[in-house]
Amino acid sequence: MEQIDQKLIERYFEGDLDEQELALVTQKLQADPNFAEAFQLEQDLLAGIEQAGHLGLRKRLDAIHQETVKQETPVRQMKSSRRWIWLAAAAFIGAVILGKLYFDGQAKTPQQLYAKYAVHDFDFTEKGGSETELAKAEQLLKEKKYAEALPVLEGYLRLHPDERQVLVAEGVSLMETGPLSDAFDIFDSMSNNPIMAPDMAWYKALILLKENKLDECLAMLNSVHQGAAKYKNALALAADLKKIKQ
Amino acid sequence: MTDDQLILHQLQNGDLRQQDDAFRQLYRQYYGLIESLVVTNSGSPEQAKDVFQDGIIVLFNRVKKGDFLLTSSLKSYLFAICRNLWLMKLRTAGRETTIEAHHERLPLEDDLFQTLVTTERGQLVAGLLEKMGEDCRRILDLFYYQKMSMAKIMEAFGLGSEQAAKNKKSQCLGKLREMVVGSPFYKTTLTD
Repeated sequence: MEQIDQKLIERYFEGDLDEQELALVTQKLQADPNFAEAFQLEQDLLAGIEQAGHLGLRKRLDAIHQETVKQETPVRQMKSSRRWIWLAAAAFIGAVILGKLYFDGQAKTPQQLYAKYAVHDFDFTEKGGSETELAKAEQLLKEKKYAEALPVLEGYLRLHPDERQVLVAEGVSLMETGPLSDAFDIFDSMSNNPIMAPDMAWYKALILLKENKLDECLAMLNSVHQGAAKYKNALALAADLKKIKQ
Repeated sequence: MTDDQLILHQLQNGDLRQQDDAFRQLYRQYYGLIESLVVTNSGSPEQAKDVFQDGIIVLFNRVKKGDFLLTSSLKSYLFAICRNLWLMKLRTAGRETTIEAHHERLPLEDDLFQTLVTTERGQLVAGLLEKMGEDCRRILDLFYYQKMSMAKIMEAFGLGSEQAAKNKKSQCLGKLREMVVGSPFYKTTLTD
């Protein structure tokens, strides 16, 4: 598929074509099987993005449902009593299994918890990582050579101060090497950005964990938004943290 | 700004927290109404939850498109969507019925419910999307699902220009395209 046709298809689905281009798409769809195949693929891609979006939205709605529709009526409770018996049995079995896992391999200190949850993954290739500096930084981060990654990231940020993902990587490197307050400031500075904000609470919680500020860490974890990529990790860390606080 | 307008504004602006505030408002104000609609018409509370959430997804999907114009109250619009959804479910289950409700009957667009249709290939793509890097997942979600403008995406990602944001979006879509084409499951669905 020629690049030009791919662009044409992409723009078609964005509603960006003029009449002449629309006619060209119609004609190519009838005459060129490769074009028709690429068109179908694009349709599937967009359907997939939409389905993934719905899934994410449904998770957020489930959480809101739990929060707002708490009280069940007695009639509803009676109707679902049998289901509750099964759920209770399943919960009991689950608790036994979890209990075994808990005693077998649980993290017992905040530092162990930090090591368990502070797993970072950066992919700068999406940012044009062929740029030597970013590729080098990505490699160093993968090898957990945070101290060496820092000057590379800082050098890049001097030229591209608004590259937020690189800024997050700088924050993470500082979180690993210190000073922690500088790392906290970086994540805090991005907390007002609606796109970055959901994940910033997670990083700030990790710093508080590393500083042994367990209550503050728990409060921060509770503020991690359901839409955040690390939301599930936040729930799991909060649960683990409560155990070691007991 | 009326309550309805505020909710619509919060749903449209791409800020997850504001969107969640709007969803909470919808839940507080209208969940009881929809639950009662479903439960008094042969449904269970669990089905009421599904219908309400499907209704919100349909509403959200419609509102995100720039040309949405609310010609009634949000309550009537959401009720009409949920009523149709529940009727469709009853019919699918072979239970032909009518729903008596003391609300105005709003005409709805034909393709309004198309968004809820899931396909095998769509599910495959959604699964592969999960494997992409965070930046790409987010930019594709913001542009194609949240319908956020390139100007806002540029600002959110700290990119230098709208063209840079556009390039990044295309790059991510290209990456997803490669993953899908390389998936043996995708080829299977095409030959089925």
